[in-house]
Amino acid sequence: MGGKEGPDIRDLLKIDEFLHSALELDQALCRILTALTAGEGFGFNRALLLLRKGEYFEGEKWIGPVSHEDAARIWEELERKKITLQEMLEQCGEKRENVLSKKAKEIKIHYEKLQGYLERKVRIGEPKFFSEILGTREFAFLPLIGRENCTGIILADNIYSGKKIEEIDVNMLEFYGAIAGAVIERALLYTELRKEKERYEQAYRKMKELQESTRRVERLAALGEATAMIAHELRNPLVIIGGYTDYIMKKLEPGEKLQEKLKVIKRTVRRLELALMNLSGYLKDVSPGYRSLPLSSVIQDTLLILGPEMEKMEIEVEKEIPEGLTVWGDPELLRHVFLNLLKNAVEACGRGGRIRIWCEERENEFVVSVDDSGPGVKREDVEEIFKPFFSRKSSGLGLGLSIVKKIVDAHGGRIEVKESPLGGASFQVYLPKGGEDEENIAR
Amino acid sequence: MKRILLVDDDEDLLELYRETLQEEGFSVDTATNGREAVEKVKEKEYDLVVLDIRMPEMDGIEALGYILGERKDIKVVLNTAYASYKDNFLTWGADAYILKSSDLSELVAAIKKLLCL
Repeated sequence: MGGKEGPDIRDLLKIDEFLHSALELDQALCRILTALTAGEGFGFNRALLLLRKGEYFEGEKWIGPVSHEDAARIWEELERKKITLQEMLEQCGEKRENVLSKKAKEIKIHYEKLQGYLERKVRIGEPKFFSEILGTREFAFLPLIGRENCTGIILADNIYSGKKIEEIDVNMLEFYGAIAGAVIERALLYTELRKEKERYEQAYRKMKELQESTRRVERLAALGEATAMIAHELRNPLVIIGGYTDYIMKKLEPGEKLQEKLKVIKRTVRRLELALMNLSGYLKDVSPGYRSLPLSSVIQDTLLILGPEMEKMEIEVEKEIPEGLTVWGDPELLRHVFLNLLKNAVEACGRGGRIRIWCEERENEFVVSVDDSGPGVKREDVEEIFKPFFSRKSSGLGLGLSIVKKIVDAHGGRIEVKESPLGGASFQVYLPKGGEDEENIAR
Repeated sequence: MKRILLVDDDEDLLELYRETLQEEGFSVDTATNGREAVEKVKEKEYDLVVLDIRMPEMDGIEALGYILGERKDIKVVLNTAYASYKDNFLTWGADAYILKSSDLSELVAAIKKLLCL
C-alpha cells in the first residue's frame, strides 16, 4: 500500500476476526499487542498498552524482547520455526512475566496530561514525555477508540531494530486502533456482564439461604408456640401435684416410710417442670429474679434430679461445694444451668465414668466447675459450642449450651470450657458472689 | 393476722395455695377471675393479692389496675406460668413476679418479705 510497510486491508480483516474471537479482556489485550509486534502484522519491536481506569491511564501489558540479545534470539527462533501470525495469536495468553511486564505495571498517567491527544489519530514521537518511559524518541502513539470512548492507548517502538516508524502505514494503524478499541470495549463489557452475573448468582444464593433459614426459624417458632402452650397447660397440674406432695410430707411423721415415696413424686415433678422449662424455650426473654442463693443447695437440687440416672449408669460423682457460700442469681435459672451441664457430663462420660463438681472462690466471684471423664471438647468446637443449633449429638436441637450461656451472661457471669484433669471437658461457670441474707426477691 | 386474696382460675390450685398459706398463718380468701377479685377488694381490706395473669372474664393485668385504683397500698404478687411478662410487672405496679412452681417456698418467701414478716 503506497510503498508503506505493514498489513494490508485483507490482513487487517483477518486480524480483526481473531481479535473479535477473544472475549476475555486479558486474551484480547494479548492478541492486540501480538498483532502489532508480529512480522506479519505491524512488525513493531515492542508494544506497551495502557488502559483507562478512572482518571488515569495505567500500564497493563508490555510485550517484546527485553534486550538486543533477547531480540536477536527471539527473531531467529521465529524465523526458524516459521510461526504464522495466526499461530502466534492462537498461542496468546500464556503469561510470561519479564522486566517489561513488571515495568508496565508501574506506569500511571493522569488523563489531563494526554489532553488533545485522545482522538482517532496516530502520532509519531508525541506526547514527548513518553520517550523517557520508552527509552527512545521514535515511537508510535495510538489511542484506542472504539465506538465512542478512549479505553486505552498503545505505544509501540522499534528500539532494537532502529527501523523508522514513518515507514509504517499510519492509516492502517489508525484503523487498527479503532478495531482494538472496539474489542477492548466489548471485552470490558463482557467482564462487567460476567461480574454482574456473578453478583446476581450470589444474590440468588444468598436469597435461597435466607429463605431456607427463614423456613427453619418459622418451623421452630411454630414448634415453640405449640410447646409453650402445652407447657402452660401442664404447669398448673404439676404445681398442684408437687405442692400437695410437699403438703402431705409435712403432715407425715419425719420417719414415716411413705416419705421416701413422696420424695420420688416430688423429684419427678421437679424433673418435669425443668423439662417443660427447657421445652417451652421461655428463656428467650427472661429477666431473672435475682437473690442471694446458697450455692450448695442449687447444686444439690440438680444432683437430686439426676441422681437415679447417674446411679443407673454407675457414674461416680464428687461434689466439692462448701456449705455457706452464696451466689447472686435466679434459683430456677441457675438450676437449669447446672442441670444442663451435668446432663451433658453424664452423656459425655457414659457408663462407669467420673464427674467432679467443684468450686473456687475469687475476689468478687465464684468459679463453679463441672468436670467429666468423657472424650472432651474438640479444639475446633470450643468457639462454636455455645452457639445456638450447634450439636455433636444425633438428637436434640443443639440449644442447650446456648441457653446456658444466655443465662450465665444474664447473671453478669461467663462460661468457659477447658480440659479437665479427669480427661474430659471442664465447664467453668463464673458467677457473682451473693450477700449474707436473702433480699430483693422481687428484683 | 394478715389477709391475703388469691386469684386464679384453677380451683385446685387455689385450694393448694389456700391450705399452704393458712398453714403459714395467713387469713385467705379466693377469687377465680379478675372481676371477682376487684369486687372482693372493694368489700374487704386485704394486705396482699396473689394474682394469676391469664384468666377468663378479666385478666390479671386489667384487674391489677382496678385493684390499685381501689387500694393504693395493697401489695400484689403476680404468679403465672409465663415468664414473658416478667419485664413489665414493675411498670404495672405489681410488687413481685413469681413463676408458678411446684416449690411453693419461693412464693411464700416473697409474700412474707412483702408483708415484712
